[in-house]
Amino acid sequence: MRLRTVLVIFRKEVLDMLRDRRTLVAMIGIPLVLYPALFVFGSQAAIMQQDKLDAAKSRVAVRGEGAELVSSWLNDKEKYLLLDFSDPEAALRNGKVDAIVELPDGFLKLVNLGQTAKINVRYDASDTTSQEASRRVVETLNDQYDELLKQRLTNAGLPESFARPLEVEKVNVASAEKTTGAMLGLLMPLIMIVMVGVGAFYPAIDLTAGEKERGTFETLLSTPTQSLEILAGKFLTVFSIAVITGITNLGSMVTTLAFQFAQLQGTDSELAISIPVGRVVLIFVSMIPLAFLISAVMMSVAVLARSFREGQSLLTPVLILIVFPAALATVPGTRLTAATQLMPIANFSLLFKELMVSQASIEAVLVVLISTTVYAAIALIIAARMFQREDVVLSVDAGLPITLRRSMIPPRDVPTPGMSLFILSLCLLLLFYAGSYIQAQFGLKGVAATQWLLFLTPTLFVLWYARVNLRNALSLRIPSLGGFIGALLLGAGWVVWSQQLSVWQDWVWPFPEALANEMAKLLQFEDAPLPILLLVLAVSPAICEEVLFRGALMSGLRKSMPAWALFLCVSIAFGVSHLVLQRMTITAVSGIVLTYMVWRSGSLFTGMIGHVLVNGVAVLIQSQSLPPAAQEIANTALGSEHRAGFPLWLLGVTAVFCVMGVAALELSAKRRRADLTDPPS
Amino acid sequence: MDSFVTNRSGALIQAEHLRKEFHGPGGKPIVAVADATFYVEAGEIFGLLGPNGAGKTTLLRMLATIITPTSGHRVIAGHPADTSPNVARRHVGFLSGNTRVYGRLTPREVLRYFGQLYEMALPAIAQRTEELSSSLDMNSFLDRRCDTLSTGQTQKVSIARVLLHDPDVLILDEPTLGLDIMARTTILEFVQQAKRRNHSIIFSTHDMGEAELLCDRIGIIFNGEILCASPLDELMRQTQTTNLHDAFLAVINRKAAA
Repeated sequence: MRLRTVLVIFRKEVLDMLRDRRTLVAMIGIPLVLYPALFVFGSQAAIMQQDKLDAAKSRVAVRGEGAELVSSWLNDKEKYLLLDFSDPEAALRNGKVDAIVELPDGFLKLVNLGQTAKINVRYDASDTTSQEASRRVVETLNDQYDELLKQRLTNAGLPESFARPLEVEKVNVASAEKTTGAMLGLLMPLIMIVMVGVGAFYPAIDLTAGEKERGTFETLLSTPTQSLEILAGKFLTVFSIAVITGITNLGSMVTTLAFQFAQLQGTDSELAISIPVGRVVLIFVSMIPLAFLISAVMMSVAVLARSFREGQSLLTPVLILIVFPAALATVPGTRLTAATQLMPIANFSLLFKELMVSQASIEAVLVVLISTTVYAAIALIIAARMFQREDVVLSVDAGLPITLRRSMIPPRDVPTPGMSLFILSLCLLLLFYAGSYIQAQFGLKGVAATQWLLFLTPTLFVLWYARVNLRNALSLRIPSLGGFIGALLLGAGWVVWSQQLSVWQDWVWPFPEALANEMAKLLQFEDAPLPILLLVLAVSPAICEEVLFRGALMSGLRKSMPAWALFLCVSIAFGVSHLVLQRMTITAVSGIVLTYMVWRSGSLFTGMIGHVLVNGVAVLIQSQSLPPAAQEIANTALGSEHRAGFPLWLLGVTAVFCVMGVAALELSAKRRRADLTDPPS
Repeated sequence: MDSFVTNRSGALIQAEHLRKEFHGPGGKPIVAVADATFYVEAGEIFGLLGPNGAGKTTLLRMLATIITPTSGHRVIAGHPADTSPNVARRHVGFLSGNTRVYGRLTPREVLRYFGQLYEMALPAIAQRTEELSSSLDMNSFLDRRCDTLSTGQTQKVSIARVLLHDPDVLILDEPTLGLDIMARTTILEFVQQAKRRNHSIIFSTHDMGEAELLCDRIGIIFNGEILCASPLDELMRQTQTTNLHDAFLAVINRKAAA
């Protein structure tokens, strides 16, 4: 790559872009106008609303014994308009009066005899004028309360302090900066990220799809330049514009805020609550890899389009996809954690928020910077690959590169290892990001949704899209009798042994109690009827997880590794999908058993049988639904206090089951191999 | 039909067994150009005729080193385009009928940009711009934005861009596509001038009259195969026809029948 050529392209593209009104508007126009407008109109509207409320008199009706006395308390003509209604309640409902002061029977007596009189102020909380009226009335009555109290104390010959043993005042220790920061930190990151995206939007399309539409991409390629130089020049342009957009937004935002706060504080403390320069610089620095990432992603998508319009329709979803993680910071309580600081875009958003209240550690800043840079580099590599493909840069066809279109994909019997790993990573990512949230939010329903929507659906979709023969890839064959019996026996034996293993593990490496409680609470076992529990916790995983792990993953990896490595990969992936470390090991071992069933029988259904057995019995034990004798054994073995483990005789019997099951599976495998090698005569 | 396959040292364009495959449905390759072998000599205009989808654009893009052939060799002005494409590119001027110019730049800026991409020095670019501007009569709009120019003026900018680095090989893909008479005349004159300067020109067209008028030899491409590459009179003699239009149809029909 020659720097000179890159710079020639860069200079030309910048010149070209600076003459584009849309770019200028997004880069400079919007930020310069948006923030001042937002704040001016925002505060103006608030002030006007307040003035209006202040100015209007509150219409108040007083009812009950002693109304005259209370009316005399409310005699401020500026604030109140006292009205009389035969049915004040109806008047309040119809908005003819703003508040009703309701006095109890014997009001005057109560007041005069030194007792407590309860006054109700009735108002309509859905109406701001009514709210304001009630606030005023309460304020006035509270003043009167102080007055009455003073009188009573004087009459009794007591000092005023008698009724005020303590005086409590809240003192805010947060610096003004911190309070300001917390307020701003909620919205600013989102706006900022969206603006960087908007800044990169038009250049990314114009320099790729636009160039294709003009037919000049071809011309460029006929000059002594390489496609990587073209990409570099164009990328630098988009990136610079994104960064400048970020700077103008940040600058405009900070300046506007500074002036706004100076005004709020009164003229004497001008610019006192400015946002600290150091943190603004940090935000700026971490914005650079973010702009890099957004530019690279946008360019690699936009280059797929063949016209400007198509580029817009391709990039709009990308922009929306950016908004979601960016909006994470606006959710109260979200913080930079070990997990969130690795989430692209969301990490910048959260870092920005925390920097506004000076909470972010230097490690967090570094992790966000480095991870974003890594994502950005990956995105740029993808963009570079796109640019080097003739079918992409010269495409007259729209959309996906030709080789990725379904109609262009050759049908195949089993997925490639790459496809399998893609499916696995897709499902795991969905599980980590969406699944854990859904499960926490919706309990049992969330578990079912995770299985069917985040495991099964994507797996089947990718296999369908890649034109993989589902029957072969998922080993959807009826097992032989031997395979069927083997799976039943091994499954039945493993039901006990998997529980026993968890007991042993508990002795060595106990499951944290807090975590266990939390998980039990999440799943809300008690609430759901048994058939539902079985359906969600035994049948669904048996179908969905088997399709993913023993189906798509296993058939894709099978040919490219020895059996032991295959077992290891499938089982570890299976374990990892169970999220909690303590559960992973046991699940991984169970994964080996299930993998073995499918591997030997050649049928996914055996794995499903085993899976249903293991999970189903666990559900029965947990919900105390086994036959009484068996339940007692299980409770002794797994009860929360002892966890004594199963009796030896049961372990022995089930071990025999396991051995018999393995033998049956081996036999069926041998017969299957013989069938395969000897062609039918 | 090997009569036109000759390796000539004087030829500025040499194509040897060029083949280009694309991805087709179901992962099967689609052959855009099957096996193209021909040459174009200095001072020669070679017309490439063929129905839509015959492989004209693919063949010309391979010669202009915009795309890489699946197999075969290209020699441009004596330089192997497969091993040193950037050297070959300096000798090539490429123009397609679909090509437009950068609307927000002026013709002068467009020329400066491409001059720099050809690694010309700025004074050389300025001088060449003046020359081309007066010979193509572009002075009146040299500093106006391209999106305000007429089709003919835009076409002149494109021609100036092609000629800027003084290439001795011109590859023109349907250069007169969709042009009015005036703009078309400009293009045809420019092609004839290039021939007088002893350049090699290869261009594709659907216009038989244009081809008859300009071309020293006619190549007919059909289904990715070059069916002939002969002077017009020879072609008419072979097909026993009296004009290019009939000769073209005769060649295509003979192949389609076979």
